[in-house]
Amino acid sequence: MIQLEHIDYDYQEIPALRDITYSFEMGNCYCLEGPNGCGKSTLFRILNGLAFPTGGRYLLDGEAITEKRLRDDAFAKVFHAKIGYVFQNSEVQLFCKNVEDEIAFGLFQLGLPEDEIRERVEKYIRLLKLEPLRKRTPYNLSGGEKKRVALGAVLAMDPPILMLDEPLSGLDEDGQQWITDFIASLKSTGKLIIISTHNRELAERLADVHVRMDKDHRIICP
Amino acid sequence: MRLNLKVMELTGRLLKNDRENAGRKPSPVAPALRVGAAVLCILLCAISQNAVYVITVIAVELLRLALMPPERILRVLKALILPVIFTALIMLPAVFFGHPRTMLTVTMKVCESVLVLAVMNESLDWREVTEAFSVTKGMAVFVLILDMTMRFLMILGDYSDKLLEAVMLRSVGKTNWKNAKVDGILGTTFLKSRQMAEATSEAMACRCFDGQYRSYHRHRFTWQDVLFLGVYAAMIALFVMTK
Amino acid sequence: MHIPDNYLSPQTCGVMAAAMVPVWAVSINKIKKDMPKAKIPMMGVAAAFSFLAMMFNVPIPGGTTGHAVGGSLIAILLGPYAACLSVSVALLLQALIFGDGGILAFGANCFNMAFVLPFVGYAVYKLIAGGHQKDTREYVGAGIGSYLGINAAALCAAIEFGIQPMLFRDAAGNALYCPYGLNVSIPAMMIGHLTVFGLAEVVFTVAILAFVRKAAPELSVSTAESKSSNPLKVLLAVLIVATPVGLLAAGTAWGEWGADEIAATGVGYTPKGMVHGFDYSALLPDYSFSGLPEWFGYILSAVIGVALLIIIFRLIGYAAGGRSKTSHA
Repeated sequence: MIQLEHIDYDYQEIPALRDITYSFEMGNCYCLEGPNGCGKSTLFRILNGLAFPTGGRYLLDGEAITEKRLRDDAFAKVFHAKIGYVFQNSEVQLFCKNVEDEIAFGLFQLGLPEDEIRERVEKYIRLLKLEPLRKRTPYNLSGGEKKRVALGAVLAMDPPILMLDEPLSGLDEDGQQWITDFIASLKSTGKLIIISTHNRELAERLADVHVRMDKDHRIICP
Repeated sequence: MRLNLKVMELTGRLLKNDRENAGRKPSPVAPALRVGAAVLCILLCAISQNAVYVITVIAVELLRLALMPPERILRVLKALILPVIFTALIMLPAVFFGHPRTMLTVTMKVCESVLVLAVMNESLDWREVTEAFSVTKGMAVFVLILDMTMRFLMILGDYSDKLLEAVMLRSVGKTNWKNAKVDGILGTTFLKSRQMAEATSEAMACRCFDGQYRSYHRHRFTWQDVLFLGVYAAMIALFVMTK
Repeated sequence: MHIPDNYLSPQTCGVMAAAMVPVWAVSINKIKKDMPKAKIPMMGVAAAFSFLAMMFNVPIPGGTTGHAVGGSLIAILLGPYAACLSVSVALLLQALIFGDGGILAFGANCFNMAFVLPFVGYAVYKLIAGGHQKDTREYVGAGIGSYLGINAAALCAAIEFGIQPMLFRDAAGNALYCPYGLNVSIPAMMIGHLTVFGLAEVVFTVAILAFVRKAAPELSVSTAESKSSNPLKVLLAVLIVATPVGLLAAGTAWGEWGADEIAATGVGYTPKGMVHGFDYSALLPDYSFSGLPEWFGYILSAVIGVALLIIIFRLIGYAAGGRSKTSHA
């Protein structure tokens, strides 16, 4: 589980987060809501270890996550394996030659045995309906297809924590419906899911807890 | 003629190529063997002092070319024209000095090298070619760089095309290379490429990247690979015979 | 039957070339209008067959050799206009790359083998076989048509040779170009073609025609397929590999001697037009290489010739707009 204690973050002397104190529990689905510029994306980056708070502490399963700790490669690997992050712009996180390689990428890094890798890749290709796109280059696909590939690549690593930054951005109506249903189906797996979104309906449908942030970069409603 | 037509053509061709090759069956022979054969062929031709070897290779490649669809034939020929003409012109003094055969031999060798590579390029997907390099351990980084380059070419090509389109839509009058603010477009694309590079490295870190870059589809050695080794043997044998 | 350079005077060459220009123009127009675009690559395959046929030299007693041409075959399968163009391109390749047939004499060679031969052959075929296909009447028509076609062509060549000494002499009375008059050239050329070479042409035409009708229907303009099938490719491969058989017939064909050979053939002197005539050194003269066994050079030449012909016609078909989605080998 995730604990944030008095997190501050300044980006070149401009405040981005102010005194964020919160706990995320396993098995729940949290929706991070708030106006543009309130700091949602920054919070995500901190949670993923891509940025480090200027004040306060970030604890994952009781361990403090700091820049120094993440310089240790072994620790960083374990850390990142726990959190699956689906970026807002899927293009950024798709970099392999074809969809199969993309999904298998993380699994190779984790050092899993070949049959396990094969099993998981096939499972998620089926689950996300990526069969006809197997040999296509991921960054050449349409928006919805890219999102599905990104999801597959992240989920295949079976992370206990899943974070999705604006999962519906860039999708058409059918795509949005499909993703919403899919995320709903993930709720029963006991994962900790954190979604950042503007979409009221998505939040209503999926959230166990609504976390609202305001223009002052604080959490106003737990 | 729209200014960004050329850029669109290129990105369009890469997309079409991607769609076509997705349905294509993977090469039955290991791509590494095929790339290796092409390299060996060019090497042997360069060393060969006998025009016969070169002409034999050209004959075989012409036959392979004849079996391809006409669009591919045209692309190969387009790739061939400039190098051959350039070489012929450069070697022209040899004719005046009384060594016409030299000019012919060198031109033929250039023709052969370009032909072999162009035909290989048309018969293999770029993904198979980069995969061929991953055969040797330690080349993973090299293949990663190659693939990333292709990816950035496609994504940034698309991006700069959209920028160019935006400029054209906002301009009054005809847009040509001078007033299309190409320097601005290039600069913006460069900045975007930096952003993308950072974001890509973050994404890779999030997926626990530790230096490994492997292909899911592993080529299994089959009888076709063994048969293909015969090609290597034939090339070397012919080379030795024609010394 | 390839006439080399310097056997015909430049005037004769010019006249024959001029005669061919309208023929080519009409043929190109007819192909543009009537030939389905997808069939144009088949013209390349047909040209390849003709090219290969011309590599199989057949000897006759007396020491000279000849060969089949296959022009009638192409006319039957793809039409006489297609045959004209296909054979012309094959002859062009032979003249430029292999030195078989002269450059200046190109017009005359085309007139004989790309115009007279296929059109006569086709006319006779149509007369006998009518609209029949795949039955004996067609094969009989093909056989007789091809026989008459090649002999008509040989006669034309003989006449072109034979009138040279009459029309072009130097001050001493020696012939400038071909030194043999009609009384020698006609019997010399016709004996071979009326017998062995004509037979070769008949056999080639009928055999390939039967093969195409049964196993490779895409080579005919009367069918819709346009992808070249495996039987066709296999046949081409077999013929290419078999070309060294054509080397077994030693000796030069009548009228195809080099400038150094002609004095020994009986005329006693080397005509001036040949000594100081047009000289062209082809890339692969006589389909051979120095330093390698002849059969290797022969097969290699066959490969190059066939490949180039197929490539040329594929590109022509593509340029003409035959962009089919399923264009495969």
